[in-house]
Amino acid sequence: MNKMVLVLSLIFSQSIFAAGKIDITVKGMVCSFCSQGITKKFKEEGVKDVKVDLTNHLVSLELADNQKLDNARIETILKDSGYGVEKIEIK
Amino acid sequence: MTTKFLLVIGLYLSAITYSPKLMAHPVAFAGSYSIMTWNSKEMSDWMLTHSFTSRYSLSARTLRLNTEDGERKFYMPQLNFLLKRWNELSSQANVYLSLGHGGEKVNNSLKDTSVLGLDVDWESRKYYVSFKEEVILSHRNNDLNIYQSKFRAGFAPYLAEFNELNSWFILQFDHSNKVKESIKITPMIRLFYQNVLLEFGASQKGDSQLNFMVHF
Repeated sequence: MNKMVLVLSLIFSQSIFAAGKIDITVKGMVCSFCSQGITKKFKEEGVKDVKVDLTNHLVSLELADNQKLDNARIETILKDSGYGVEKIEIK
Repeated sequence: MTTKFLLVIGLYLSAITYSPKLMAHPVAFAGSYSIMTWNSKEMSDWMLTHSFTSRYSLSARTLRLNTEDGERKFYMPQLNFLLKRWNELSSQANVYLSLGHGGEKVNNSLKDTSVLGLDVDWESRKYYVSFKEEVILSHRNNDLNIYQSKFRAGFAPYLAEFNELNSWFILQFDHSNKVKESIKITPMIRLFYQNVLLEFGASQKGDSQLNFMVHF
């Protein structure tokens, strides 16, 4: 029973901390000139691809193989870029 | 004057045909560098800025002003602080404080000078307003102190995406206690693409202005 709980919690923790694609709804992202920092910061983190959609306030990340990026790290990166997080959606 | 206005309008229309927005924040993202320059007949202002965090930055600044006291040149390091930011889903508002201390070049020597500036702005993807008040304090004579105010309001004629050329139409009001034309109104066009920003315009009296900024 304990083993089953352990396996299940590992599966769920993987779904939280590692994913191929992540959509982030960002607060304050109204200007592409100012949003440059977001792309740069995520690229420095090793993210494979970063797409910014100003109309939908969305930053879409495609993680590199085996890359892990947790919500706390995502929020820190966006804070360093000067923005706030509304929602993080792992795909 | 008419020629400059026509030039501005022409450049504006040509920019629209490609597609186009921007902000001139004294603090950018953590670890970034910025070169910013504002140029007109009365002024040439250059700043090289490093943002240590998204809350504060340090600039090396040179400023030349043509005042009623003659041409004055200032050199100084300047600290810039983001005092408060409001990030909303469709807008952002900021309050910045700038403090500098350096020298004014007088007869080949530098005389103590301090700068205090306050910037307030609000922007969405469609509209933009900002106000800046700057005081340049001369420690040799209070009569030489300079008080400058700048108010800007702008709109984007269309909404451009992240990797498109952005444009804004901006109306700028300048006031200074030390410039002959104490209130100046300048319509300006702002274009930016990725990390490069360019602004140009001409005042009601035909004085041109050119501003440039790059982040990296």
